Amino acid sequence: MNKRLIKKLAEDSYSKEKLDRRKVFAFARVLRRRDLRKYIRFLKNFEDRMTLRVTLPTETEVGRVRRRLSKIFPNKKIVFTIDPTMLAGIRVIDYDNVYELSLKNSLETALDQITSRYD
Amino acid sequence: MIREEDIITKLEKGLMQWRGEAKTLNIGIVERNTDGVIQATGLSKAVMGERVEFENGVSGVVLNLDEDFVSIILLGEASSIKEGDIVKRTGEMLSINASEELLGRIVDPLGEPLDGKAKIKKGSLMPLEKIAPGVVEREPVNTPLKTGIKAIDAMFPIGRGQRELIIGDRGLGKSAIAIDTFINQRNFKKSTSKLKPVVCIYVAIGLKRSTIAQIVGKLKDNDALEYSIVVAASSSEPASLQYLAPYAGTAIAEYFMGNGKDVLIVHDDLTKHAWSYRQISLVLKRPAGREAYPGDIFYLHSRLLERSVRLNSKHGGGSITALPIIETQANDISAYIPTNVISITDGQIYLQSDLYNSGVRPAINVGTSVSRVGGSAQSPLMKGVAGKMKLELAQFAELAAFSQFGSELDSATSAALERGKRTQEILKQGQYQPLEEPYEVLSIWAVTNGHLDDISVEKIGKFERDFHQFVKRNNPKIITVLSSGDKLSEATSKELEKIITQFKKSFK
Repeated sequence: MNKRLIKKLAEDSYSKEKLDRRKVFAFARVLRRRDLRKYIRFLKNFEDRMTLRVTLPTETEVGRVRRRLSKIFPNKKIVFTIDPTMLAGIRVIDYDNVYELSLKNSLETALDQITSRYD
Repeated sequence: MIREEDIITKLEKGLMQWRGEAKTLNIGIVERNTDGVIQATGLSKAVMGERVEFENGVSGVVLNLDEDFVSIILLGEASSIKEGDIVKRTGEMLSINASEELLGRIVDPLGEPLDGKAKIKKGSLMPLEKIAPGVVEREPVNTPLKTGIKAIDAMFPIGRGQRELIIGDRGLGKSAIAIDTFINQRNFKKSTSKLKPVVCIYVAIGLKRSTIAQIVGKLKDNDALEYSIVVAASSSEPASLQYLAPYAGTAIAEYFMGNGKDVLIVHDDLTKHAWSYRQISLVLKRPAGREAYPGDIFYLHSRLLERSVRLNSKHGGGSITALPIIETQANDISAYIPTNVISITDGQIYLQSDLYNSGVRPAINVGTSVSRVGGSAQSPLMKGVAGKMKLELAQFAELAAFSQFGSELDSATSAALERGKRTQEILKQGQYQPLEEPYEVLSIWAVTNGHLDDISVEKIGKFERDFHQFVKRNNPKIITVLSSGDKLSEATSKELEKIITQFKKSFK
């Protein structure tokens, strides 16, 4: 089975933008091992595209941020991670786009800019 | 010397003035790491030829954009990159830091020093890939680039801005011609020279490190390293660095050309460059064509060599002269890569193994070698003196084959044969012994005007050396006259005849 067909199978595994478990098991039963690996890779890729990964420094803002982001990204599943080393701010990863608004990153960028002047 | 307090004050000032800004990155995730090529998903905004950076600081270049992933060739160590690692776009095309500080240094294709000396300070960032200057920006090639090798300067003169291929089997002296040309440029550093000094760049592609060290040693011993730059991607470097090396060398050359200088660049050798590109293309699963080379193998070299130009005065008047080297197998110049590069360049110097084995060194085949720029790149002096030499040698080659039949020869044929033997002998030259033009002219004038007809062939070499010493010691004024490059006047010819007659009386 060629790659394009496997990708089509992975796309068809979704019903109303949600992964349909019955379809996934049905397809998995008929695929060969090598094709199954590709199928799983495509499913992971589609899941990544439909997931928004948000990192916050504390848990206190999770509710408010979830409400705001649900309006901006209505069709995406939002997953939260807590990372205190961020100090403040937010990091949003939308598949391959990273929106970095953390204080830690800002300080690191400032340091890079200052040190590069002395090269 | 900056004081500690100043550094702290500047850091505090920088932090106070800083404004926090959101950063947007486009990233990818490593899916596969095979043979120095990384496949990554994501990177949807990456462009072809863009530099990307991995988590461990290693850089890569995007070479394939597929529907579901991008293929990246690594420019460093591959072993530390694993599946799931993050790779991010830099938004920059691959470029190299170029400045005057590069003179006398040995660097890799990324601009990092390899000679153990100080880090090179930031200069201009020159892109490795660039579109060649257009027709309007160019000027015809009419200024000589003197190699110091009699056979080349007399019969296949190279001009500044020309591309002249050096082609032959292994071990015939291709790199030696390039090194002798580098060494000869020390004569143009003098303020009395009419021609501009030349910056020399040696690009070592796929050579052994011991060979590169040997070349650097020779340049240093002959005071040529101070105006030279070596860009080295040895055989132990990844294929990606070997692929980028000639482009890095050309980017550095463009920096100096942009400042109005004349540059000489040697690519040693483009055969290994083609091999490294073939390796990369096969790993990237690009369709293989003839001899397993990818379909754009011609474009690989054409876009490189087209950047060697002579610019007009409006654009600075600088030039890049390229001497690409191609290694053949069994003297076969009709193979794929040699024919490609021959069709791109403005001539070739063909070295032949049977000439080399019979003692003719440099082993240049006069019949198949050519310089398409020709006399435009020669001084009037050399043009006048060496004009008929190529024809005489071609006739000699024909007659030499004919004379092997053993039949009796007429006097004209015998004379032509004897003259040819002496011409061939005078064109022999030792390695690392380039000659200045006045001495080249002395030798060529002597043989083309029959002054060596009465000297035995075995003594021609000694005659030439002693004659040069004699003129240098007793008639330095004639050297000054010949240095002007102007056509030989009647008076100068008569003077030369007087000098050689006088010398012959004392020569044994």
